[in-house]
Amino acid sequence: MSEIIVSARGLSRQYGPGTAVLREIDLDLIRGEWTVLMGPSGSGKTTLLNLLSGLDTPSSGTVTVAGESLHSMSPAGQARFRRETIGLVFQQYHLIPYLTALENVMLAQHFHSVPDEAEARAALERVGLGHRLTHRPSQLSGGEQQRVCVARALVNEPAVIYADEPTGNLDEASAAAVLELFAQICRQGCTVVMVTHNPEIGRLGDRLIQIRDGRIVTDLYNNRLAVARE
Amino acid sequence: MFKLMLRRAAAHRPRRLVAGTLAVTVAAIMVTALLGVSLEIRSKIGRDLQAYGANILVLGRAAAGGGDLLSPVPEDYLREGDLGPLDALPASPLLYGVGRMGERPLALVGVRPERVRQVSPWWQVKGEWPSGDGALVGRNAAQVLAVKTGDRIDLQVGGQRRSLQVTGLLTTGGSEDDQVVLSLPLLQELSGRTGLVSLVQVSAAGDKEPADRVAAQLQGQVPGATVRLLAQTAHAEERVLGKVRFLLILVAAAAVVTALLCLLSTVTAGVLERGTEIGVLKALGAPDRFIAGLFRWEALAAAGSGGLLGWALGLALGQFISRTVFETPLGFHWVTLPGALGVSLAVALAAAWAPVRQAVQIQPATILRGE
Repeated sequence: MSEIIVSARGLSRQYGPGTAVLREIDLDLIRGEWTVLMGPSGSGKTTLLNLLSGLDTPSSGTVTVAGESLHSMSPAGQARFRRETIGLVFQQYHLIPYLTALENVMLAQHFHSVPDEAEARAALERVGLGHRLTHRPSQLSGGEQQRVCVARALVNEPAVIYADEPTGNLDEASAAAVLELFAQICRQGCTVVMVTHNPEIGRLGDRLIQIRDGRIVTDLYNNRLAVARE
Repeated sequence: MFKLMLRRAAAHRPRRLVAGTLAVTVAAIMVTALLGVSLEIRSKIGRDLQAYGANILVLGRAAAGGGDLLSPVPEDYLREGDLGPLDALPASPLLYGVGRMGERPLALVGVRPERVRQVSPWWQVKGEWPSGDGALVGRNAAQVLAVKTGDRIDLQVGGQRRSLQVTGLLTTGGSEDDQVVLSLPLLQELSGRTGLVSLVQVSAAGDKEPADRVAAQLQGQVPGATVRLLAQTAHAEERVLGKVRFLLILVAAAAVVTALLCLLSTVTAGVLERGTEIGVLKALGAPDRFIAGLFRWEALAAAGSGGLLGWALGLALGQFISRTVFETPLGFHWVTLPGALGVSLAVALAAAWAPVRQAVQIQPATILRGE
C-alpha cells in the first residue's frame, strides 16, 4: 500500500487582498514517488514547493508530515524538520560562495548531525564531482554547481527532496545527469517533488501535476488521470 | 564547521572586517587615552591648582580663635614634633609674632622656605630667602621702613634684640607684603617658642584624595589642632576636577557612540549583503543561534582586534596628551586594558544586536526568490 509522507489540505497563499497565489490545494505525496509540478510562470508552483518544505507559511490550510502539522511547529521545529527530513535543490544553486564543494555538502551534514567527510565525498562522487571537491562555486560550471547542490540535498538521505527547476540553467548533458540522479534516489525510496517548465522532463516523473492560477488542474499518474480537477 | 565559516567569511570579505576593526579601534584609542589621563587627572590638575594656595589649615588653639594669636601659653600652639601626619603633604608651618624696629611695631612670620615654596608658589622674592640671621621684608613694609636688600635692621622681639640682614624683598599681593619674614627657627628662638608653630597651611590639591577627605583624615591626628577646610578653595578645585572629568567622559562617550554607529552600519551591511546566504542556511535548517553567531562573532573579532590595537595606540595618545597638556609623562595603568577591551566588546555586542535580529528574522522563501 502507498504510504503518504506529506499531506496538504486546503492550502492557500496570498500576499495581500486579492493577490492569491495558491487556492485550496489538496495534495498527498507518496513515499518513493517522483512528482513533477508544471504550469506557466506565476501559476504558484514555487509557492507550493515553499509551503510544502516549510520555507513559507500558508495563509490557510495545513501541511502534515508524519502526522505533525508543519506550520504549527515553532520556527526552531520547522528548522529541525528541514534539516532532518528534506533536501532542497534550487534553480540558482545557492551554494555558499566561500566554501568548497566538499564543505558545502558537509555544511548540510553539520546541521543534520555531524559532518562526515567520507560521506560528503561519496555524495559528490555520486554526482560525478569526485575530482572537484576543493573547488569553490566560482570555479565550477553551472551544471557542476547544480550537482553540488544535489549532493548537498542527498547527503543526509532525506525522506523528501524538493527541487525547484533543477535543470533550468543546465545544458542538456548536465540536465540528463541530474535527472538520472533523481530517478536513482526515487528507486531507493526517496520522494522527489520537482518543479519544471519542460514537458519532456515532466513526463519522466511518476506523477505530473499541472497548476494554473494557483489551482491544481490535472493530476496524472504515469500519464493516467489520477484526479480530475476540471 | 562554524569556525571554518567564520574564517572563510572574513577572508571572503576582508574590507568589512577591517572597517569594523577600525571603528572599534577609534573607540578603544579614546577610551584608553582618556581613562589613563582621567586616572591621573587629580594629581596632574592638582599640581596646577596648588597655585591657588592652601586649602586646609591645621590650627593651634590660639590661631583657631580660642585665645590670643600671640598667646604666651605653649599649649595654645602646635608642637612641630606632633606634625608627623603632615609630612607626606605639601604643608607649611607658620609662627606669628610681633617685634619692633625702633618705635615701629612689625608683624613677623616665621617660615620654612622650602615648605612655603610648595604651598605658596606665587610668593615672589627679589633677593634670597632668609636663613640664619636673615630677613625677607614685605614690599610695603620695606617702603615704610625704608630698607632694601643688603641693609641691616635692628629687630627687637620681647626682650631680645638682633641685627638682621635683609636678604630680599617679598611680593605676594597679600598680608605678607606688610610683614617681615624670618626663618622659623629664628623666630621661635627670638619669641621663646622653640618647637612651636601657630598653624600649618596644607595644600592637598596635589594629592590623590579630595581636600575634604584629607581634612577629615587629619582631624584628630595632630594633638590640640583644629583642622579647617578652606571650603571655597577646596570646592573650586573639586568643581574644576569634576568638569574636566566630565569633559573627558563626554569625549570618550562621543567616540564610543561614533564607533557603535560605524560598527552597526558595517554589520547591517553584512547582513544585507549576505541575505541570500542567510536564506540558504535557514533553508538547510540552520538554527537561529548559528546564524546569529556568524554575525556576533564577526563583530566580536573586530572588537577584539580593534580593542587591542586601540589600547596600544591609546597608550601612546594618552602619553602625548599628558606631555602636551600637563607637561608630565603618563604612568602605565593596567586597568586601561580591560577598560578598552570591555568597551570594545560592549560596542560590538550592542552594534550586532539589531542586525542579528534582522538576520534571524529573514524569511528564506522571500529572500531566495530575490525580494
